[in-house]
Amino acid sequence: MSFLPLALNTLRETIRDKILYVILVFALMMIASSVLLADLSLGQQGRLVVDLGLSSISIFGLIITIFVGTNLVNKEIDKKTIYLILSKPIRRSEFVLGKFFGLSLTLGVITLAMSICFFAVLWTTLRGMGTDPFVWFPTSAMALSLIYIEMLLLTAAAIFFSTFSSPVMSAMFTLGLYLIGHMSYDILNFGKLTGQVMLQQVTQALFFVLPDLERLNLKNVLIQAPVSMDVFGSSLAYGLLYIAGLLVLSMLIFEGKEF
Amino acid sequence: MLTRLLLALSFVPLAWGIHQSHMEVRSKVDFKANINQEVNIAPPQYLQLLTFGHDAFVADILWLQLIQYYGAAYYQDVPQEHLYRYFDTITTLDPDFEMAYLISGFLMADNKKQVELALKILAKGEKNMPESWQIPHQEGFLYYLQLKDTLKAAQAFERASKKPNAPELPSLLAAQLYRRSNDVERCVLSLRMWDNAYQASPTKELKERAKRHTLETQIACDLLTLRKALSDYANIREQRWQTQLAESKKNKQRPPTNPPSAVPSTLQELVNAGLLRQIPLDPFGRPYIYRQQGLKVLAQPLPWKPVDLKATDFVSTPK
Repeated sequence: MSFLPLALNTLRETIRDKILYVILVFALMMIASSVLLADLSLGQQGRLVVDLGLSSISIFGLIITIFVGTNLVNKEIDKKTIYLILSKPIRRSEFVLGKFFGLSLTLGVITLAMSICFFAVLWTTLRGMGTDPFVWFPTSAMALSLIYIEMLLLTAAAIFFSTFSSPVMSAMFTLGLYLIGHMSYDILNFGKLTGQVMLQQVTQALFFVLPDLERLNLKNVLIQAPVSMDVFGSSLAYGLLYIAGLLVLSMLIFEGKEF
Repeated sequence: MLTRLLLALSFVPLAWGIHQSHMEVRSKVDFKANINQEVNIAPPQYLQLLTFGHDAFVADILWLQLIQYYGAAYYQDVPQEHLYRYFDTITTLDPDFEMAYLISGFLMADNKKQVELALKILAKGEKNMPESWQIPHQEGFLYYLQLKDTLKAAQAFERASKKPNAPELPSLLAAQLYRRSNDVERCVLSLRMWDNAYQASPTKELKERAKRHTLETQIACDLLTLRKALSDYANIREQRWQTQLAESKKNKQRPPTNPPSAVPSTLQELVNAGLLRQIPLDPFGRPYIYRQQGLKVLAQPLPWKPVDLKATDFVSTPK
């Protein structure tokens, strides 16, 4: 558990980053703007608040992850502080874990702040409509949990990419992974459409290797039909296992890295 | 301090300049341009690829756009050419957007072509949201009010009545329309529905009303059965006459001179001809009135003013 001080230090470091606050303010403004848009929605206020709120949290979470996550490791290398850290009785793998958990805590705090704003807006809107505000709360909370898991997965990916590439490249890789992760089923379907066995096997292999981020995306289905705990639990487990896999890979690469 | 003041003052002409350029741009925009030329929606299957998991959010944006588009086209008094495209895209991105399916039935009810497209959207809704009773209910209204297709409307209302949490209304509408379809089998279906409504009526008043509907439907079914038998009777007589003529020609005999009457003198002849097992009596145990002239069968006056039955068609007027 020697990575804990490092995690807390990372939390302190990232929370002081001013860009974080700018992004957070934008996110809160986006969530709150749903109140204005709701009036134009012809009786669909609740839906609009939920969709806009969840999408804003997800998109701004992604921006924070890419901005902060891809810089975490390289900043230490550029500032040469990594020599100072690694000279202490701390393993390289613990350094990676510390960075990951530190940013996870930061993202947790930010997601919590955005979620409080989101629930407040949802509460106000649904009360105004005369609907029971608690109807959508549990389902929205499930979607938010999986959005947070998706952020963690992308954090792990950002750290993984930054162990062997520059911040710009790892930002691009992480963004690419996010986009492709939401298209993994389409890739599989493209393979099927070609009708060629070889391409089908390639797309299937890609489908298994790439993260299936649609499994962590309940935003589109939660409103009408709450998902079962089985689906939610398996999606949660999938996300956590993928994160663990990425962290193990990051630690392996970082162990062999020369500065 | 002076620098700050200068900076603050320089903001004023800058803001004025920006405002002027904005006004210039606005003056060049043709706000009266046909709204249909400004709509450009990517095909839903491609759009779905580009939403990256934010399908419901993009559907909401399109929903807001749709409302603006409808309003603009309404005020410009131009046909709303893109409504189907909007609804199709919205419901492809978010298949659970129930309101989009329902509103399509209202907004696309202008002409037959639009109504058919709206029915396509509603059929998609029925497939995507099999639990919703409102979607087939809306379909029923479109069939009935816009296409005047009583049978399809009744079928849609019947489907709506079978959905979970459906209120009584679609079932009653289906019963009403099935009875109006002038078909014995559907009339029997209607009778069953009215009987269910009667059994389920919670209050005395509603029970009484459902009872009247049930009895009137019973009368309608009996009359339709009798009218069908009368029509079959005429057909059988005609066929028999043709056979007799053919046989006499074949056997080189003199052809029969008088064709058999295609009109029975009493309803009992329908039973004798094997077309009915027995002559039905109305729910009050009274016989139906048969008028040979004009081949009419009517019910005797009811104890109340008929609710469902068209008096001229079904009920004899007291002399």
